[in-house]
Amino acid sequence: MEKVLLVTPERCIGCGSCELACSFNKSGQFKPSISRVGVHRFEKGQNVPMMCFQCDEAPCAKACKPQALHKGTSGLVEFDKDKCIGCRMCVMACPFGNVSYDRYAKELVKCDQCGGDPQCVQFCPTKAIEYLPAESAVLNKKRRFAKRISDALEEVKD
Amino acid sequence: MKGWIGRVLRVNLSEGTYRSEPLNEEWAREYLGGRGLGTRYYFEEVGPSVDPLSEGNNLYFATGPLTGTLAASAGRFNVVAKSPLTGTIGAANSGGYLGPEMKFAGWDMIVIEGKAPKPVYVYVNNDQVRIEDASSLWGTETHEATDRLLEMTDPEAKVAVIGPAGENLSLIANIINDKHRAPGRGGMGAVMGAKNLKALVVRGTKGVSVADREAFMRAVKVAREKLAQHPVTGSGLPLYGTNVLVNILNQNGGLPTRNFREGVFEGADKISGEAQREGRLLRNKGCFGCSIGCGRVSFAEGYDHHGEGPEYETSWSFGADCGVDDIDAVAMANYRCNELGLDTISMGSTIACAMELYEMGLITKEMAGLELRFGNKDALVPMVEAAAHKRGKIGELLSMGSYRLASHFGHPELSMTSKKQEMPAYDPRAIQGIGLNYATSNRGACHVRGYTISPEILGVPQKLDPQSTEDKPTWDKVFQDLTAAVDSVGMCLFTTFGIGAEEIADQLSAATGIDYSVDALMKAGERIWNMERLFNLKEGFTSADDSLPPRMAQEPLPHGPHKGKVSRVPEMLPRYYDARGWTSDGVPTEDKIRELGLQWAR
Amino acid sequence: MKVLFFATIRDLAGRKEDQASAGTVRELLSLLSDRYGPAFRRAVLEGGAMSPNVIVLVNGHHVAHLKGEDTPLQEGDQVSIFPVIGGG
Repeated sequence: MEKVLLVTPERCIGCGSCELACSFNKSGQFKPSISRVGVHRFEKGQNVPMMCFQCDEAPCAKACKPQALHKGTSGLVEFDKDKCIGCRMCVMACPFGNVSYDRYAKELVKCDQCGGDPQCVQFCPTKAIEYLPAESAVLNKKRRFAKRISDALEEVKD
Repeated sequence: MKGWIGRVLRVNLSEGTYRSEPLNEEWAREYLGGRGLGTRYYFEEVGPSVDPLSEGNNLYFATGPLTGTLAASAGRFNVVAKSPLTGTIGAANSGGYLGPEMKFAGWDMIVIEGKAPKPVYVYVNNDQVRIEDASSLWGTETHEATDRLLEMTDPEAKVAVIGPAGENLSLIANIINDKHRAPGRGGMGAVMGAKNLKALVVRGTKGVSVADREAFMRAVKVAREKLAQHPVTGSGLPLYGTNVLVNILNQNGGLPTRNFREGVFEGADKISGEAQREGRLLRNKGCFGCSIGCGRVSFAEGYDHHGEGPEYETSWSFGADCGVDDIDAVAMANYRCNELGLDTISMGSTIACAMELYEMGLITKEMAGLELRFGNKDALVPMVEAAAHKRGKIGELLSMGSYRLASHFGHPELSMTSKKQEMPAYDPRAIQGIGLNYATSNRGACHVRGYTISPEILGVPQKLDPQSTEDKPTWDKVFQDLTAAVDSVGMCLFTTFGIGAEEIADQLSAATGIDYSVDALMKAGERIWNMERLFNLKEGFTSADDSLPPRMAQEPLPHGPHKGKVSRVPEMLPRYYDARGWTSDGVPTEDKIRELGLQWAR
Repeated sequence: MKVLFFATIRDLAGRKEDQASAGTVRELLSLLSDRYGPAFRRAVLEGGAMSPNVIVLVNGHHVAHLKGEDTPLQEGDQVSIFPVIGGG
């Protein structure tokens, strides 16, 4: 069953716990600079957590000559470290900036959903990031808005 | 070292030089970090009797061993120096994002010595340090300065900056970090201003390690889960922020109104957390690594202005204390304080004092430039601006805080201060324990040094009778010691609504690899408290300074549930000294000094 | 007597204040729960007794220092109901 990371930016309080959890899981240190998820904070308290979107037609995979990146059956854009030559074409190719390269560890910094137990989700205090089955991920979002329509209709009933 | 980085950056502004040195491990062990560690260094390197606005008053930006980790709400750092407002040792605590960034840059502490010949800012990017000319920024407000500094350095950097208030050496000036946060109280902004230091800018891309990863994450999960479940940290604070206290204190008859003349404010609901949530809140916000998220991103209706806050203390100081019930006027005063770099508690309370002096005819309309009477919502922002810029005689006086203001007119007793620092938003006549805490706080009247409001009003961890005096001395000591420890490890005090010394000790031990029991943690807190006390005694403070303004004992509350009551600090003080193991003059005994390893501080 | 609601209790009652008559604090909470429904009841009562998650003041005094949920009430009293919340 394919699962997706669903981000609801309106819930994000900008705490960055996700960055700490991610980097700790990947490197054993609290090191936001190599976190696979980044929190982008804007004026008026708007915050947007962002990580690899696992694109179907992934530009990073297309750009990768040794084919170290490819969209797998897992639904993720998978990375094979053994094939990577460190050219960083993927970094240039990703239109969202969700791929970067850690030149000390010589590895790609790209979300892989922690192999099925994403740490960012574990530590997000407000469910701004959730890990849900792809089929029904946006069901709650639909229901929330549908409720608003339902409430409005109640109000105008005779 | 784990938890701590093990390195201190020392910058000398007089010489324009800097160097890296190892962190004193023994001091880190005994005094933890943050407030404790900064004070230990200050005591050793500077000592008492230094003019706070002179180049000898070193400034210590100190993180804790947990700062920058996933420990519960562990995003804090402290600024330690001698306070120009009180003359005591001052340590001011702040959240936001600067503290963790210092750890990611590879520094436990940054020490600023001396004074630059012209305005400068210090830019620390990992190991690279630059002292740069800030002449073009001198005079700018904090938000504009922050934006320009980020353009000049790194868009992901974190900034601590002063505004015109600090540049003008206002004794109630704050340093502002991350635009909306402040290591507040005591005039630390003036210390930076006196050094010609406009800003400290930090960018870090390294990491923080812990000793036992599994044990640490277990302890962290336990702590975070408890915070999520507790009504205060899991529900009350995220929903309403600290402003939830406006109505609570008002209903309890302890909301100081019109310069502490009364304890009940008829306009409380209009400036409450409920009113803010209903009509002025954009969203809540959390400091780095915080799962509580008590920050308020808000706006002022009719003023086309937004920002963060006001917090409870600010809603009180510009609201009830000034007799103003207009939520937007209060919000504007709050935003302007953040933008100009002023402490909202001291500024609001100083304006309230000026309002009382105005009513007495001692401050004239001509001098104030407007009708400076209680309830005039349009007086707030102009007075804040006058203070920040020391504009006119009124601005000069307001900028020095209420004690110097009231003394100028021959009425120091009308300044609602202890050790010359303005008392915060809880009336000692309605709540005995907080009054004792104000009087005995090592940095002047302060609520966060020992937040006994928690048991006395909220019933956390248990409910105490606010009027009781027998038990308060011991409770105050326990709260003060635990708080000193929390302020030193890098965690936010608000975690203590939901977790206790045990959860803190567990996280600290796993992070540092040093076995801190609850006893050891509390002992460290007690050590830090006594160290600060010894410093102040050397500065010439005595037990006579452990007191409140005469109004608290002489003018009973006129209305409300505590009508007729006064503060009974003198009654509690001897038992407090006793609980602390001090002489009847409030001096730590030789036994106590030895017990805490403070012989060096004698 | 006058009953005042604060914070989330306001959301559950749908109003800032109300009038009611009851002999004790527990009776008052029960009466109000009948009036406002199950969500209100869950917030103020636990197994029929006053919930530990609610703060009740009678004329500005916390009922813990009076007679708890058995604190007697009379006409002219003012009761304030808060959830357990905090600040700084």
